[in-house]
Amino acid sequence: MTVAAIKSEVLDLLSSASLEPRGVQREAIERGLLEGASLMVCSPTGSGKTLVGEMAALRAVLSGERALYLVPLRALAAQVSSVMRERYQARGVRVGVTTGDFQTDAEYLADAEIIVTTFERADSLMRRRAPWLDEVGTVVVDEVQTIGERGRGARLESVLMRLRRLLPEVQIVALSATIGAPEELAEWLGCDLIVSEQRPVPLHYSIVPTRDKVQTLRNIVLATVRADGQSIVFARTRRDAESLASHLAPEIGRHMTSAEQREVSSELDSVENWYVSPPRALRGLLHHGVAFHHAGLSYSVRDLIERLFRRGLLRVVFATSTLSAGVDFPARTVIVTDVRSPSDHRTLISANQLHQMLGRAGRPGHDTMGMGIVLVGSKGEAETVRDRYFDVMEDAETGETVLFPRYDRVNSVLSDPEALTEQVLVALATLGESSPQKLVDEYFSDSFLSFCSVRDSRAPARVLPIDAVDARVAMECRAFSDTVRAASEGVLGHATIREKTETTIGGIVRDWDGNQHTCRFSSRTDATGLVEGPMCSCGQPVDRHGILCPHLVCLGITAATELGSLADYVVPLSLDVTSPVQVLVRLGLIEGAEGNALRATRLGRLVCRLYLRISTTREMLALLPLVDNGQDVVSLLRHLVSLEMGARLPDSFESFIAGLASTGIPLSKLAADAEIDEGDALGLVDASRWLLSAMAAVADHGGLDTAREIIQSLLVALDGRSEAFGKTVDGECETDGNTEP
Amino acid sequence: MTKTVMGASPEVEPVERMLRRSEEAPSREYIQWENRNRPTGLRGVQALIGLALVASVLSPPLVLIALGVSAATVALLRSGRSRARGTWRGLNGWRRIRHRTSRLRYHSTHVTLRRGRYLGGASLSDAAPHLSGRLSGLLRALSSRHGFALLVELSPESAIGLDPSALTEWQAEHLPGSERQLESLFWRHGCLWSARAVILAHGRTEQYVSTTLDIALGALGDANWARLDGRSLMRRYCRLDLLPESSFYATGEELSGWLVQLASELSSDLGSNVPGEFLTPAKVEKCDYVLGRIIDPETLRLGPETGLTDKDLQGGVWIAGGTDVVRREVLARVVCRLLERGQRVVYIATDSAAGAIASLAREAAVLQLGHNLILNPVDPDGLPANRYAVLLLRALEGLLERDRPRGDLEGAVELEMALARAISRKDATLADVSIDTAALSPTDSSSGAGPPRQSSPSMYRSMLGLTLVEELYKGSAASAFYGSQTLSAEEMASGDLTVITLPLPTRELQRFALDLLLLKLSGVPRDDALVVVVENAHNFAGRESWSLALVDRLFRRGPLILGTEALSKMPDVLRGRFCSAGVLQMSDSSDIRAAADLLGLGVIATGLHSKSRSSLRETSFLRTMGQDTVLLRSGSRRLAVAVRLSPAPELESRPLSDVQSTARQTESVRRDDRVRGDRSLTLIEEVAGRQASLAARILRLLERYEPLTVRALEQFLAASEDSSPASSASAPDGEVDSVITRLERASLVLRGHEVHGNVSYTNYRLTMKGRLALRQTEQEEREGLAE
Repeated sequence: MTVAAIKSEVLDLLSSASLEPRGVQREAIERGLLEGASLMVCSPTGSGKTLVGEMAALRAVLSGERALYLVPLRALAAQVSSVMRERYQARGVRVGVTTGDFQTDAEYLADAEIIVTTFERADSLMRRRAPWLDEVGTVVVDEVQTIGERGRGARLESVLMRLRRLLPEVQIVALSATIGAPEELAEWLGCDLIVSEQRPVPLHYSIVPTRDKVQTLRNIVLATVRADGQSIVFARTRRDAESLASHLAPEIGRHMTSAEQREVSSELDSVENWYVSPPRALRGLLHHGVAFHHAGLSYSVRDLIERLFRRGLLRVVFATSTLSAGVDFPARTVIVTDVRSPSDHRTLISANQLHQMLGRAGRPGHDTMGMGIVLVGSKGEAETVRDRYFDVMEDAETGETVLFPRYDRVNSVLSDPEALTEQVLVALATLGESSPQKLVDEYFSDSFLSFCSVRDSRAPARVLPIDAVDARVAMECRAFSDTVRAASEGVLGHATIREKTETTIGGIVRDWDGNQHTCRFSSRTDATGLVEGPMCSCGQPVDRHGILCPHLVCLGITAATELGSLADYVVPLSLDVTSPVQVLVRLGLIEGAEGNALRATRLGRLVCRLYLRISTTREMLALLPLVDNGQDVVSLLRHLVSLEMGARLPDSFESFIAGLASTGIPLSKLAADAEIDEGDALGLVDASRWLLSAMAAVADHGGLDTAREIIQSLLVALDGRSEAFGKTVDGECETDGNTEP
Repeated sequence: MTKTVMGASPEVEPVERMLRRSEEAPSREYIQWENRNRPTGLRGVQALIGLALVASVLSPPLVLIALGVSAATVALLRSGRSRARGTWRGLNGWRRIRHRTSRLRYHSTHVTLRRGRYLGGASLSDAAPHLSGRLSGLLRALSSRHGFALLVELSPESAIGLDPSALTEWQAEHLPGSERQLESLFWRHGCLWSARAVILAHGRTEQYVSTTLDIALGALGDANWARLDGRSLMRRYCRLDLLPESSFYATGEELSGWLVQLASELSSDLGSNVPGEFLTPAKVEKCDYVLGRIIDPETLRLGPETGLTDKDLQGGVWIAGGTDVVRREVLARVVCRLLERGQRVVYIATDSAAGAIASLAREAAVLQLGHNLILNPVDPDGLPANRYAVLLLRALEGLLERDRPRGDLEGAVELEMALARAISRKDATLADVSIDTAALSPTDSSSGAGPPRQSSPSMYRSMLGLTLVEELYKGSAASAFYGSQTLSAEEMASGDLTVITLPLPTRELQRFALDLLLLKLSGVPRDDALVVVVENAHNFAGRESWSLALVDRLFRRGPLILGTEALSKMPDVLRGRFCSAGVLQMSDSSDIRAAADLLGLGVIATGLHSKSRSSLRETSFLRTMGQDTVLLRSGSRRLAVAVRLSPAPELESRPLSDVQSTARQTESVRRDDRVRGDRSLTLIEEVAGRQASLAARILRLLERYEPLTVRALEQFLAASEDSSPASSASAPDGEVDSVITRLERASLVLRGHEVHGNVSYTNYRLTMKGRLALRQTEQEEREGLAE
C-alpha cells in the first residue's frame, strides 16, 4: 500500500471506531506519523496520546509489519490491548498481549500483528531472540519517561538501544507525560518532538500547611463532595490509604443518597461482577461512596472501582501511586498527603511523579477547573515542596502568586550498579566478545546515559565504571572531572585523615579560604538499616544529581593516595560504586577471552535468557546447592520471589505455594488464609512459575539433579493449577512501593 | 701645716671647730617688760609752756627764755618717741633675755637630746618596686609610747635634665634617648617624681630608739633604707631639715601603688583595722613538698619551711586566686617539687602558654588538643561502656551556654541510646552518633529551625543533644574531637610529666574538653604516684552534682590539685571536699569570703600586738599580699599560715611532642598470644570458637557471592546446621545463629543494604579483615595438610 493509502486506511479505521484525531493526534499526523516518522509526544494525561500510539501501530500493520506496543504496567497492557481489540479486531487487526511468563518465547504471539507488552517482557523477548522481532516496523513506547525510573528504567533503555541496533529503520513513537527537557530524550530516540501543555481542564495548584492532615483532608474532601465533585487522595502506603478511607467513609457516606447506594449494590451484584470479590473491608466502604485502590487488589477489583468512579458512584478514592500512571482516572480534586518516597522516607518523590498524580485533577466535561493540593506538615515543609516542585510567578493582573509545575529532567539510571552489571552481561551475551573499553566505546556509547553525559555540564568525570573500581574511579563516578583534577593537584585544599577503619574513612578538609569541613565516607549502616554513605559538614555532601561536594572529593583523593587498598575498599562501598566485571567474573557469568576481551559463560547466557536480576542470580547460585527437599525449594523460592518482585513476602507464602501445588483449594481461599491480597496472589504465582523454571534451568546447568527434580515437580504442579484458574496476564503484582502487608 | 696665699691653713677647719661633739643649738632670745609704766616726758613740757606764758606777761625777756625752753622740749620729745618704737637700746623698762636650748650630743647611730631623750633615724636612698604591705607590720610593731615619724617629700620632676646616673644599665639602654620622648614616656606612667623619705624614732632610752628602728627596718625590709649616722642627724636636727639629701626617682604609677597602700594602712581607724595577723604554728610538721617559708607575723620575718604533704595531695588541694600567670608560677613550684620526689604529673590547662611547664622535666610530653592530640568522646578509654554513656551525656551538658533557654539533656533517652550504640561500636567516632528520625519529616528538619517541638520531651532533648554532638565534629572544634583518639588516657599519664593544653575558642568547648579529659583520666587505674593538676578548673563552676561526681572519680584514681581563679564560683560542696588549699591574692569580695571559709580565717579576739578586733581582718590580707605570698592551709593544720613562696622556676616554651598514634588504627590480622595445643589460634577460631569451621564456610560463601542477603545467610546457616558434623545435638540452640553476629562484631563481615523494588534488604559482605582471616585459615589448612 502507498503511504497515502495507508494514511487513509488508518483514518478510516479510526472513524469506524468513532474516533477523530484532535489536538496532539492531528499534529502527529501532520508531522508524518502515518508516513513512518518517529515522533515523541509529550503532553499531560488525558490529552489523547494513546491514540497516537494506536495510529502508529495501525500504520505498521497496514504496511505489512508488526507493531510492538510497550507499556509500563500489566494493567495498562491489559487495558490497551482490550481497547484495541474492541476497536479494531472486527476490522481484522490481530492484537496480542504478553506480560508474564518470562520463561517462554511467547510463540503464541507469532500471529499477532500488534503485540502489547510490558517493558520487561519485551526485554525478555529480545534476550530470547523471539523470531518475530525482525518483523517489527513500529515500536510504541508509552510512558517513556519511565526510562528515568530506578529499577526499571535501565531495562527500558537497554530495550530501546538494542531495538535500534537490531532494527535501525524502525519507527519509534514515544509517548510521555510532561517532563523537563523532553527534547533531550527525543533527540536520543531520533524522534521529532511534539509538546503540548494544553489541558482539557485548567489546573490550580495549592500547598496547604497543616498540623492535622487528617482534619484538613476531611475538610477538603467534604467541600468537594458537597459541591458534587469527586476527589482522589494519594497516600504514601497501602495501609495509609486503607486507614484514611475507613476513617472518612462515614462522613462522606452521609452525602450519598439512598438511590446511589442502591445503585452501588446493584453494580456489585451484577452479572458483570459475579467473579469480582472485593475484600470485606472495601465492600463496606463502597456503599459510602469511598474506596481504596492499590496494587494489592486484584485487577478486576481495581477495574470495578474505576468503573464505579467514572460513573460517579464513588466520591472519593484513596489510592497509592499505582493510580498515577496510565489509567484514565480524573477527578475534580486531587490531594497528595505525603511527598516522601514510599521506599525511603528520607527522600522525596520525583517531580514528574507528583505532577502525574496532580495531573489527574479536572474531569473533562464535568469540571471547569481542577484542584491539585499538596498537604504538608509545616511552613518549612511547604517551602521545601514549593521550591522543589513548582515555579512561583505573580499574576500581573490580580497580583496573586501562582504555582506552575516544575518538571524534572529525565536522567538515565543505567549507571546504577546493579543495572549496569546486568546490562554488561546482556551486552556481552548480545555481542559475543568484547573488551571493557569496547563495550564503553561501541555499545554503551549509544545509551541515553552517554548521550546525556556529553551534553550535561553536571555529568561526572566517569559515567560507566565497567572495569576495576578503586577509590579514584569511585570519585570520578561521583565528581566532575575538573574537581577530581583539582583535588589530585592539591588545589582544592588540604585533607587530614582522622578516621580510617574498615568501614569508614573520615577527615578534616581545610580549603584555601581557611574554612574547615568534617568529611567522611562510611559504609556502615545507620539505625534505619541504610548505608550511611558520604557525609560533609558543609551540609550538602551529595547534590540532587549525585555529585559529591569538593570537600569530599579532596578527602577521597587524599585517601586514595595515602591509604591505598583501604581506601579502595571503603570509598567505593560508601558511594555504592561497584565493578560490574568483577561481580560477573566472581559469579561465573563472564570469563576472559583472548586479549583483553570478555565473554559471557554458558551460565551467563543462561541467566541472561532467564531474565534474572544479578542479585537474584547471586542468591540463587549461593543457595541452590543446599537444596535438599521440597521445603528448601519453597523457602528459596520465597526468597527469590521477594527479591524479584521487590515485595516482602510473609512466611505464609510458603504454605500458600505448597497448598497451591499439592491441593485443589481455590486460589482465593489459599490467598485469604495466607493473608495475601488477591491482586498480589496471581502475580506471585506467575512469578513463582517463572523463577522455578529458572531454578530448574540453573540446577540443570550446575548438575544439581536432586534439586532439579524437586523443582520441576513443584513447577509442574503449579503449571497445572495455573491452567485451571487461567493465565494471569492481567496486570497483577506490579509494585506501588507499598510492601507492607 | 700647709701654706696658702692667704697664709697657712689652720690645722683644723674653723668651721669644723665649730661643730664639736658638744654644740649649742642656736639660742632663743626675747625681750621682757620690766616696768610697764609709761614715761612722763610730755607733762613736763606742758608745764614749762604754761610757765613761759605767765613769764612773758610779767616779763618779756622771760618769754624769750620760755620759747627757747619750748624748742628744747620738742627736740627732747622726738628722741623719746624713737626709743619707744623699739630700740631697746637705751630704753628703760625692757630687758633682754636669752633662752638656752639643751645640748645635743651625737653618737654613731643616734643623737642624745637633753633630759634623756634619744633620736634615731633612717633614710631611703632608693626605692624598690614594692613598698606596700609592710607598713602594717611596722605599725603593729610600734609602741605608742614612743615617738615615730615618717617624713616623705614628693616633688614633680621633668624628664628633661634627668640625671642619667639614676638610670640602671637596662633603663639606659632601653629607654628612649630623646628627652621629649622620655618626657612623654614618664607622663604616661604618671609623671616623674623626686622622692625623699626618712623615718625618725624618738624615745627615752637608747634601746628604745634602736629597737624601734630595727623593727621599722625589719618590717620595711627594703635594703635601700639606711640608718642615719648621729652627726648627720644632729646637723639636720639643728637646721630643722630632717629629710635626707638624697632623693630617688619614682613614677606616678609607683607612687600611687605605695601611697594607696599607705592610705589604707594609715586610715583613721588604723588601730582596729590592722590586717594580716596569722598565728605561727608552734610546731611545723615536716612537709613532703616544700613551697616556701612561713612568714612570722610578729616580726614579719621568714620562718621555717612549709608546703604540702602526700596526705594533702590525697585529700585534694585547691590553689585559688591570682591571675592565670601567677597561679601557673605557683603550680610550677608545686610541679617542680613533685617531680623532684619522683611523682608523675599530668598538668592540664586551657592556655597553650602553659606548655612551658614541660620545661620542668627533661622528658616531658606537650600535647595540644586539636594539634597533636585528639580526644574521641565516644571512646570509653578503659571506662565501662554502659556507665560511660551516661557520664558523656552529663559532660555534653557543659556545651550548653548558660543563658540558653533550651534546657538540659536530662531524660534524653534517645541520645543516651545513640551514644551507647556508638560507644559499643569499635572504632566509632562522633559521626557515628545518630538518632533514628524516621518519624520526623525530612523537610521539617531541613528548615533549620532546630529540633521540632511537636516531638516528645525526650526526643526534643535528644535532638538538642545531637545538635551539640554535630557541633563538636562539624564545627570549629572538629580538629579536637573528630577522629580516632591519638593517645589513651593511660598513655597520656605514663610519662614523668605530661602537659595537656586545651586552647579551644569558646568557654563552653573548654568546659567540655576539661570534663572529657578528666573523665578519661578518672578511668586510669589508681596510682598514688600520679598527680593530676588542673590549672583552671572552671568547668566545675555552677555544676554541683556533676563536679562532685567527677572529682570523686578522680580521687578514686589518685592525688588531685585543682586551680581556680574565681573560688566563689566553685560549688560549696566541692570546695569542702578538698582538705587543703593555697590561696593567692584576691580582690573580689565573694572570692575572699569563699577563701575565708576555705582557709578557716577566723576572728582573733585578742592580739599579741594589737587592740582587740571585732571583725575579720585576715581577709583583707588577701587583697594586699604579694604575688609571692600564699595563705596555705594544710590538711593537718586547722589554721592557715602565710607563706612566702620560694623563687619560681624558670619556664621556657617547649614544642609540641611528636605523638605516634598507637593501637588506634585498623588492626591487621594478628596472632594471639594464646595457644591451643601446639599452635596459635587463628582469628576465625578466636572469633567463632567451636563454630570456626562454619564461620569459615560463611566467609568463603561471602567471598564468592557477596553481598548476600540476611535471608540467604540464614538459609545457608540452617542448611549448614543440618549438614555440618560440628553442629551436633549437643550444640546449644542459637549458637549457630550467633556466628554472623560474632563475625560482624569482629569486623570480619560488614552489614549493608540493597534495594529491590523499593524494599530494602540487609546484606553482608566480606571485609578486608575477613579476607585476611580467610587467607590465614586457608594457609593453616594447607600447612596442616602438608604435614
